[in-house]
Amino acid sequence: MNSEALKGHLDLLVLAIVSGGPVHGYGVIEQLRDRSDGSFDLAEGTVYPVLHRLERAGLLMHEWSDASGRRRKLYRLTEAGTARLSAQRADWREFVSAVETILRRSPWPQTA
Amino acid sequence: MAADGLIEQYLTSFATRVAGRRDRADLVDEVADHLYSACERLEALGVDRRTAEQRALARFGEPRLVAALITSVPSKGNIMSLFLSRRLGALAAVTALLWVAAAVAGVFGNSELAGGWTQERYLASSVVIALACLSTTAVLVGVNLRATGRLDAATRWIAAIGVFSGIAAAMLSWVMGLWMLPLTVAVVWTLLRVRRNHAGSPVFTVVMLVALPLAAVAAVVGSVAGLLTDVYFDALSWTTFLGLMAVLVAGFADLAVRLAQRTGAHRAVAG
Repeated sequence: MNSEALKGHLDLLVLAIVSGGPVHGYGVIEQLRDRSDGSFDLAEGTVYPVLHRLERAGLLMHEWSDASGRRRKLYRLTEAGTARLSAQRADWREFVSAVETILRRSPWPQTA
Repeated sequence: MAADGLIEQYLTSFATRVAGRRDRADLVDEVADHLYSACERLEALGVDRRTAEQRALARFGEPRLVAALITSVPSKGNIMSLFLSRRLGALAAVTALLWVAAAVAGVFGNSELAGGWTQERYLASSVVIALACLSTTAVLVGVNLRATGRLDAATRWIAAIGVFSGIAAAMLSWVMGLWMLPLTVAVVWTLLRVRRNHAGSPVFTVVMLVALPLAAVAAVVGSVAGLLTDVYFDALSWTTFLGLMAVLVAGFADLAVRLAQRTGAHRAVAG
């Protein structure tokens, strides 16, 4: 998958992954890669500016954990983040279904 | 964990690149956790330590690039950055206007170009130039604070040099070298320090870095020659003076516009 194509949707994808519970940056990258069957594979360091920007915007918050033996920064969604995720998810589904309709190339108007 | 392993080296390099951030320890810890996690995962798959470190680093990205991307986002606790971006944009705009006023006042107050020279005109022009120097100093301090997140020794020196230029301009504005040189030192020092996260355009940064020292040297030469020989180098002085003004006006206007665009973008993200 072209990383340029991914960039525009990274915020939504990161919000979706973080909504699954407290997760660190490496976990976000891993899930992005695994859940897309390796399609979304980007320079790993680039996820941090995204996480930090979303946190600045009040959509994420973080806490530090020492459970792994190292200081680990775990992100979770704020209420605003949850609201933003559901709004963006709805927008995305609407967009996809509109594109799908067009790509189906069915003759129009269609007579059943 | 190899003390002098590749990851350690990477983290050292990364740490120097985010040294200006107040939250640098957190940034380094976050990156360290990522790199060690990636490395451990590869080791669990049977990859040897050194190869695992190499792969983890290759996947993470070059330290300069990653640090630049990370520092492009002000940290959550670092509200100073956004606060300063807003105030600084306005201050830079005021400074650009003051330099336009200083250029006009300088021509009126220091030469016969616009009617007869009077002491009042000279004093008024000195005040305007001094105000422009002080306003410039305020912007420089803001730019330094915004980039480093703290009032460090270099910032204090830059402030002192800038204030000196303002005082020199108020007392002896006609000895251009006396205030242009310290002002140039303050601007150039600031630009060299904050080059990596300067909000202004890179082109203007380079123009200022080249043109300001040239103008300052010309001003000093003109001032010294004028003092020593009684020959006043009018053409050189005015070219230098107006050239310096033009560069400063362009530089500060550019900074003001870009900061305004940035804070606009922040509002859009937050909104």
